[in-house]
Amino acid sequence: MKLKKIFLITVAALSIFYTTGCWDMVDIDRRFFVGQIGVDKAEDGEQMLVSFVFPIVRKIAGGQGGGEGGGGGGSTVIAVSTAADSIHAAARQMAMRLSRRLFFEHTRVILIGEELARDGIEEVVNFLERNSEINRRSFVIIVQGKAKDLLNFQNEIEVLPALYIANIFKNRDICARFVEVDVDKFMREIHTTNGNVLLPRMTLGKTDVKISGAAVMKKYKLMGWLEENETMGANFILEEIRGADIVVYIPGYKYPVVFTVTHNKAAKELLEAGDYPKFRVKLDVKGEIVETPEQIRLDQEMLKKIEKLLEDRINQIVTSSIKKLQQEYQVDLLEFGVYLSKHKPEVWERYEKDWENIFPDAEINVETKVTIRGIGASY
Amino acid sequence: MGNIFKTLFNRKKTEIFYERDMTPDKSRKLYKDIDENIKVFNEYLADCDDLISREFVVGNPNGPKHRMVLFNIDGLADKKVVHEEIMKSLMLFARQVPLEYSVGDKFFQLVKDGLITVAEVRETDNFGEAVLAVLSGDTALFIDKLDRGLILNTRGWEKRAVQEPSTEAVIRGSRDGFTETYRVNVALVRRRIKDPNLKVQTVRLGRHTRTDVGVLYIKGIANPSIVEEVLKRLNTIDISGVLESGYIEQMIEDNYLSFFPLLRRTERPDVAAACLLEGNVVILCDNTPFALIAPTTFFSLFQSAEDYYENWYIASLIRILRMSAAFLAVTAPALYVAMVSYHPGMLPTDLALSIGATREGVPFSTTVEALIMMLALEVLREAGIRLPGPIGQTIGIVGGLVVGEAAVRAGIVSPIMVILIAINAISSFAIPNFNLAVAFRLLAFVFLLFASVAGLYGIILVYLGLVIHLVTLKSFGVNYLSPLVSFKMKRVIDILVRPPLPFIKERPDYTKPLDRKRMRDLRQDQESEGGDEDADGR
Repeated sequence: MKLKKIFLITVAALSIFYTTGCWDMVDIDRRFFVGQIGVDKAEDGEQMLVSFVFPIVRKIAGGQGGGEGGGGGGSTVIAVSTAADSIHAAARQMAMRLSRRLFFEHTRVILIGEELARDGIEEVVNFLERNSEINRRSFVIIVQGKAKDLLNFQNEIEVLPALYIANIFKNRDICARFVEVDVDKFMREIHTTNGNVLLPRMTLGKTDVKISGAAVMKKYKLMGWLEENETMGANFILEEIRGADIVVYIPGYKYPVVFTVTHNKAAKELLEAGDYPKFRVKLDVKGEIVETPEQIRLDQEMLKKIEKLLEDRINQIVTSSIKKLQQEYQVDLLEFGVYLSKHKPEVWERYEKDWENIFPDAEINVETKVTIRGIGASY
Repeated sequence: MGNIFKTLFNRKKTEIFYERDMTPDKSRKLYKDIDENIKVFNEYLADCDDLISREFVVGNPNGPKHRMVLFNIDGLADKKVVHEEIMKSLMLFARQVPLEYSVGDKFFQLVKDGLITVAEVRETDNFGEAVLAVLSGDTALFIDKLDRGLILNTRGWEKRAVQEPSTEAVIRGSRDGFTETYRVNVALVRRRIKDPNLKVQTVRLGRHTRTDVGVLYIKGIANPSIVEEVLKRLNTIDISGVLESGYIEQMIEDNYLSFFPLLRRTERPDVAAACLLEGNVVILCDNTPFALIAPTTFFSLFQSAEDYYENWYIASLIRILRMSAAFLAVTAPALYVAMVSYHPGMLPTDLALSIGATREGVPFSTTVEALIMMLALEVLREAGIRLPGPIGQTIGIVGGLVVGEAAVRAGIVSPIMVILIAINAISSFAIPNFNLAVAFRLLAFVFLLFASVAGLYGIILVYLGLVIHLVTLKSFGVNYLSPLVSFKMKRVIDILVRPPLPFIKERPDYTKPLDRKRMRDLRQDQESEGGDEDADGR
């Protein structure tokens, strides 16, 4: 009895040694917190140019280590890059050059250069899938230009440039002119659609960055871009709008009416399923008026009129977005295929194989209904 | 040579003088001859310099004289009572005794019933009882030509007054605490429960100390099986001395090896009374201001006296606070070490960076750092208790501020670790029961050790072990984790929330009380009666 007990305790204690991941005790001050990973095509065209950016923890406020303190003039981040066959290989190559271990659980953004994206991002997808350390909440971004250029990007607002970029996505609740894709969502979408996904686009300024529009990925390859308004249109159909501003002009007035969307519903409906399907998308948009020309008086009539104008404007935005995806890129990124497979499986069975060619010719009508729920404190 | 080994390793067992049976040896009867009695009595208490014996002669000037002798212990017997109520009465009033009463049994009866003005007088016919009584502070009186003696209650020694309990201070609640005197303690409880059903059964424990140990319970509420169990266990104690109720606690608890206290202790008579009313058994011990309460559950150790005096939401809030404090007291250092060494990904980025920044330049690993700080804190705590009051405070300041600040400045310890250990220590002091707090602090080391070997996995492992251990624990046949194990939603909520008083209509069921009902809501009854009348009126 006693022997059995001792045996069991020993087994329990020993089982600790077999659990993976439990021997990687590395103290927090022996790690480099990689904030961003940049992936580019290397100059020779064969390999990848992988760059990592991490902070000099000692220089961040709160560090002690004597008098030199925070600022000290120099940069608070270190950027390193290397050419390698894969991201993982690059991280391992870094071990030869860095005194501490690279650590990816606090990675906030994964930047993919335009050139590499045009060649295909299968390798990046695979890395993100298999790496156990990578933060599932980090954002995947396509950089217009080279991701490496961002290594020099710095500002004094956030401790890490990666935090600066990641926090831009928090503004999605007031701005719908870009898409937000974290690693988790990226994985889900890229596998359900076999490599078709919308990713946020980042452009570099001299001293700042801008996230706007979307990169259209088709079969793991970058096809082109959606501009800001077109991205907003796509967001309307994807029900991804948490806040967006629509500007319309009432004929005869110099200044516009500005409308803020607060609620957005999109209902897809299959009308006909002939050789090519016919869809109707009903958009139900609710929001508030935040600015009007001074002379205007917002009575019921005027509100009706503005609603009509808004409906037309939204229709226009959404339709142009659909047109671009259908005609220019010929890729279904608006989840019409998903809708069919979920709600009309028998129809989907017919279209599934050739959906790539069917979608561009599908007829999609957009009907928008706008409800103005608030007009502020004045008539 | 052989003799040396024999004396070294084969030491002869020395016989203990007194028998295990605590009732005094009654076989040695008193003699009729007073000189014989004095001789034997002095033999019993030979070489006891604190024994006072006084011989004197009283009687009607016309009648026969009676030789008498008094025995008591200096310091235990109340001198004033001996002087005024015994000696003075005997010497003055015996002169006026009518002649027919001045011989033999009649005289004895007269002394016992009419002359001695002490409330408690007992008769005895043997030496054993008399010796024990004298050692307990009573006075023994022997009269010539009689083989019976009188035991007069003159107990009165220097004792600490009833003071505010120092370990269980409250903001609201009575300010009196138990003292070192058994009878005073019983009286303090009795003053709160004026019910003939409050029973006090006294047993004597300790071959040499012969300490009075009282078992208090309310007949009709307390389950007789628990009372019997307590008495049974008390009677199995055979020890040379019981100096504190801690001796009893350790001898009768169900699991000697467990960290956790299986008997609750209190210094407050109101807590004892409350527990009696819930069907518990209270054990009082002479020379101890700490009463023991049986049975005890884990969660009752989180309660303090105030919980039932304050408003329900205050009490509930504090109860939840104590639970979280317990969690911090046990796991705070371990969680920190696990997070920082194994799973920095679970921290928010900004926090991880600032922790990293503060650890920059610290020469020790997080585990060693935590161990150093925790050990330093334990040492400070211990030193603070031992030193007299004012110096103790100085130590607190010197240790806490100077050492902590200096260690951080010297770069030996990171400031976050100092904050963390401080929180850990303060949390452990927020637990009302001292034993439990110590157990938690001890467990914090175990947790830390496992966390440093296996991270969060280690913490979960220890938690599992802890739960398994706690589930197996029992206190006098009652599950230690009581409202949790026999799961009843209503009772489980009681752990975190102290319901408003009108809602607590029943006694807790872990004591298995004979009478479950605790209150009848007359207000509600009246309302429902009123409602009936209304219905009749219509």
